[in-house]
Amino acid sequence: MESNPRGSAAAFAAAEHAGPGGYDAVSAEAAVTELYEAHALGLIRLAHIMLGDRSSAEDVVQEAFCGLYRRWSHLADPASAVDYVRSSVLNGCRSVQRRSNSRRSLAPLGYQPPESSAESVALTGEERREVMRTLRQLPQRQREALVLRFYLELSADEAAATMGISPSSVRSAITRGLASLGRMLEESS
Amino acid sequence: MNTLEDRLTAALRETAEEITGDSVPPLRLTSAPRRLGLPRGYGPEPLANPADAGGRRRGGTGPSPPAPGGLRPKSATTRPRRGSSR
Repeated sequence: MESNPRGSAAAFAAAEHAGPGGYDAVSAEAAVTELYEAHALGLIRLAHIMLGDRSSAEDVVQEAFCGLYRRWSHLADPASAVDYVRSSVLNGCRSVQRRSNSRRSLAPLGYQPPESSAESVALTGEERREVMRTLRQLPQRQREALVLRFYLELSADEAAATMGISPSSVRSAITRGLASLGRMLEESS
Repeated sequence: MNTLEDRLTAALRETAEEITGDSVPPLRLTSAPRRLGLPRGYGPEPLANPADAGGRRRGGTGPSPPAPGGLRPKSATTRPRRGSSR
């Protein structure tokens, strides 16, 4: 997962070595590349959870880091780069989902994760598929709030910053999302 | 009996672990992205050296990038304009 969610040494170095205009392309590239190496895995996993499609998840993360690079000179605080790119990943997932819903090219409800090969799993493959299928039927905001809370273990304030909503809205989305998830799982069992 | 939160956490983690660390692709800051149907302006652009973008400018020597949605640029249309045939 993300090893240093608050930023990286290269990010701060890039800021220090920036020229009078505040922007040094070489340093920025090094900083963004270091951030990618540190956080890409966690972010691709996040996008994979949201989309249920590995290739799309990788593309969304690539695009998010390219966006970060383009806007590097406008970042007020390099330490916020990870928050910025995490929000970009969520935005990218929303875009992909909107388009896939209209095209019916990706069918979240039909997503079938493979049986896990891990030796010590808490859930059987079928249980996990059922939870993920049901999660993907929740409204976007509830789904995002649950994933940020229970996968990334973000606080309500952190999730709110990532989602661009208030902390109270995050808490409400989590409460409603859990209630709906529980009810839907019970109905399907 | 696991709580709902435990089941959700386990499902999310196990789904995430389908992506392994050795399969993360390298960062491509300067290459064209695969098209996802993402909104205009979402994809990467030439970054470090503006001269590299010569092919994208009018009169440049490089090939033009495909238009969004695969539409042909208007200037490339070969169909004669209505009323121009003699």
